Amino acid sequence: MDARLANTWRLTLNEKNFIKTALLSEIRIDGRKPFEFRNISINFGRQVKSEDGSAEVQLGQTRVMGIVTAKFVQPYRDRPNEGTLAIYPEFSPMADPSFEAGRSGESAVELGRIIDRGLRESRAVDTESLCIVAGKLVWAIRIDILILDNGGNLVDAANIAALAALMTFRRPECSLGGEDGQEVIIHPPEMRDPLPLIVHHLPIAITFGFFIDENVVVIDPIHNEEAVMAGRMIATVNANGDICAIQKAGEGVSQRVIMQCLQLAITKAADITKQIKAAVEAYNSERALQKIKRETTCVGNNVKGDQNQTLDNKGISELVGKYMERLKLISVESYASQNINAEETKSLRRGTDSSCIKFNSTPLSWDPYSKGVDLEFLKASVASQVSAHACACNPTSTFTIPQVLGLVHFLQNRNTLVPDECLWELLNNGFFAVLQWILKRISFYLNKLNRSAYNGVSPVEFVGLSTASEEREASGKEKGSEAESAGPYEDVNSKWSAVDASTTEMHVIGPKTLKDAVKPKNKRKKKASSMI
Amino acid sequence: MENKQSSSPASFVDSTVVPGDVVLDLSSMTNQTIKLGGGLRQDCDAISAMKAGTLRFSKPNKYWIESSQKRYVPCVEDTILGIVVDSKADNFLIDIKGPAMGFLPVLAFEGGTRRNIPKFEVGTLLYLRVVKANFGMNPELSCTDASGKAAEFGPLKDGYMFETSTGLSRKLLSSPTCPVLEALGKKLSFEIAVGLNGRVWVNAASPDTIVVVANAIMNSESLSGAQQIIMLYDLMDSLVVVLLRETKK
Repeated sequence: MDARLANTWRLTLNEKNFIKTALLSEIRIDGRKPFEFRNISINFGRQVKSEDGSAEVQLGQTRVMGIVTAKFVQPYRDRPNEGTLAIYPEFSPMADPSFEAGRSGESAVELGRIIDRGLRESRAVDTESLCIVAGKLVWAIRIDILILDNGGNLVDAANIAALAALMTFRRPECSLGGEDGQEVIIHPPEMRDPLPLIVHHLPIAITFGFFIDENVVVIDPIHNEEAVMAGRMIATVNANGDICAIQKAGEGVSQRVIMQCLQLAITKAADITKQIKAAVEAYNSERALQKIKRETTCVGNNVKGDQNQTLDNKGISELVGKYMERLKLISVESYASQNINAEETKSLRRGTDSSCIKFNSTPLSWDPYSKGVDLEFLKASVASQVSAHACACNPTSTFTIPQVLGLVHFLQNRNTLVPDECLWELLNNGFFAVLQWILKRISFYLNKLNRSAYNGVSPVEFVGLSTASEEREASGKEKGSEAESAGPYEDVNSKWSAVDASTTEMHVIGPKTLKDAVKPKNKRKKKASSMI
Repeated sequence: MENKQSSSPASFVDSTVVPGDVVLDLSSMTNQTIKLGGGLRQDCDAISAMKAGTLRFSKPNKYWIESSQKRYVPCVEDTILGIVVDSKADNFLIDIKGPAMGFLPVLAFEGGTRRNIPKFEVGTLLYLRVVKANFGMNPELSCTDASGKAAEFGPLKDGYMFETSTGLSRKLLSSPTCPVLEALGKKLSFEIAVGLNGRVWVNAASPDTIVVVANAIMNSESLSGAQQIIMLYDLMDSLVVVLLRETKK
C-alpha cells in the first residue's frame, strides 16, 4: 500500500499554476505552439511474413504498438456476409505507474471504443471483402493495441498505430474448392501472395485540450497538460474532410470553439495521413525488394564466388533456374542448393576465397533446339573443371548443374557421342541422384544405338580422358587427405579415386573393342549402383 | 583504472565498483574520521559497496558512490524536493521519489511549536533535508538545517518543477558550475532549486524563460560540456525572442 502510494505520479500546485499561466501567453512547457503536433515516427515489424501487420508509433515520449491478426469465425446472424473487426487495448504497467496489470480502468475502455468507432462505424475497413462463405465463414480481424509509454495523448498515437498496422497487414489468400465447392483452401504465403486489407480511408483521431479560459485550446496534450486540462475533445476525421466521430468530455465549450477545432482537425488529419501513407509506401517497397532478393538467392546459390562473379555466371544461374523448372528437378535443386550451401560454408570455414569455380566457358546459350554442344567443348569444359578442381579446395563441387545440363542437352540432340567414362565421372559424385538415373537410361539406349560408332573413336581421346581422370585422382587423393575433417565428402572422394583407378585401368588395357565398351560399362554400373 | 591516491596504497576512487567490492580498509587508515555517503556500508574494518557506480572522494574525508537512476535512494544529509501527499497528526507524508514515503515532523521548522504548525495543501512543493534514512523504514525529513535554522528550506512558491535523473541533478549541483547553468545564467535571470532525488524547480519572471531553462536542462542530460554549450547556442535564437519579450514587459 505504501509502495503504491510512493509510486504514483503527482502533480504539484506549482506545475498546475504554471501550465495554466504559461498557456495564457500561448507557451507550452515543451516549447511547442498550441496547435503544433509532436513528431510522429512510425516503425514496422521486420519484413518477414509472420510480422506483417505490426506497427510501433512514437509521438514524442508516447509509444504505442498496434498488431493486427486475423482468423476464421462464423459471422453474426444479422450480418452474414461481413467480416468483423475488434480492438483490444492493453495498458501495460510499464507505461505509467497508475496503470495496473490486467483489466485496466475506464481510460482503456474509452480508448478502445474511440478507435473502434472511428474504424468500424465509418466503414474504413471493407468488411464485405472479408467474407468467404456467406453465413458460415468470415475473417475476424483483431487489432491489439499495446501502450508502451505514456507521454500523453494515447488515443491519437494508438489510432495511428492501428491504421499503420491495418495498412501493412496481409491475410492469406483463400479460395473455395473441394468436391462440393464448399471446402475452403488457404493458400500458404509461399504459394500465393497474401492479400492486403481494403481500407477505404484513414480516420485520424485528433485530441484537443480545453483549459479554464475558453480561448485556451491545445492540440496533442502532454501528460502534464492532460492532468491539468478541464475539458477534452477527440475528433476523428479523415483527409477528405469527413468527420467520422467526436468524443467530448469535461467542461462545456462554446460552439464557435468546437467548429474551429474541427476545421483545424481536418488540416492536421491531412498531414498525418500523408505521413502514414509515406511510411507504409516505404515499408511496402522494402518488402517487395526483400521478396526479389529471396528468390534470386535461391537460384544463384549454384555459383559460389565473390569478386570473381561475372555477368556470365549470373546469367547462367538465371538460365539454370529456368532449366530447373523445365526439367522439374525441384528435389534435385533443393538437394543441390543444400549441398552447395554446405560446401560453401565448408570452404568459408577454411577461409579460402579463391576456391571459386572458374567458369572458363563463354555464356552458354541454353536453347535446347539449337545445335548441340560438341565433344570438344565438353572435353574442354571437363578439363577446365579439373583444373579448377585442382586449385579448388572443395573436391566435390566439380560438376555443377550447367555442366550436367549441357550433357543432357546434347544427349537430346544426339549430335555427338558421349564417352561413357566421361559421363559416369560426371555423375558419380552422388550429387544428382535423380539425374543420374535419367542419364543412365538415356545412355543405355544411346549405347544401343551408337554401338557402331564406337569403332571410330580414337584411343587418343581416351588417353586424353585418362589423363584427365588421373589428374582428378591425384587431386582427389590430395583433397582426400585435406578433407578428412569433412565427413560425408570423404566417402565420395574415396569412391571417386576408386572409380578413377578402375577407369585408368580400363584405358591402359588396349584398343577398344565392342565388348570392352560393353563390359566396363556394366561393371561400372554395378559399382556405381553399389556405391550409391 | 585505479587512481593512486596518497593516503592509501590501492585506491578505488573514481573507478567503477560493484556491490560487494571492499573499497576501503580501515585497518590501514588509523586515527581518521571518515564520512560515508550513499552506497557504502561498514563491516567492522572493511568498507564495502552496496551500489554499482563510481566511488568518489571529496576532501577531507567524505566517500560515496555515484550512479544515475530514475528512482532515488534516500541518503542522510541529502537536499531534496518533496511533494506533500497527506498530513497526519505528527508529521506530513511527503513523496520523495523513493521506495517509501518520507515523514516530515510537524515541528521540524525553524521556531516550530505545537501552536504554529504550518498548513500545507496537498501538492505543495517543499525543499527538504534528509535526517534519517535507513533501509526498510520511512526516511525522516526536516525543513531546517543541522543547527535548526531555516536556511532556504521550506515551501517553494510559483515556478515550475520537472523531473530528471539523479545523475543529472548531481551534475547541476557540482562545483565548478555545470556548463549549462553557467551559460544560461549569463543570458537569463532565474531562480533554481535542485533536489538530489531527481527533481528541479525553476522560477523566473516570464514563462518563456522558465520553459527555455527547463528544456535546456532536460536536454543536457546526455551531452558533454562542449555539446551542452553548442546546444545552448542553438537555443539562443529562441532566447533572443525571450529577451525581447522580457524587455517589452
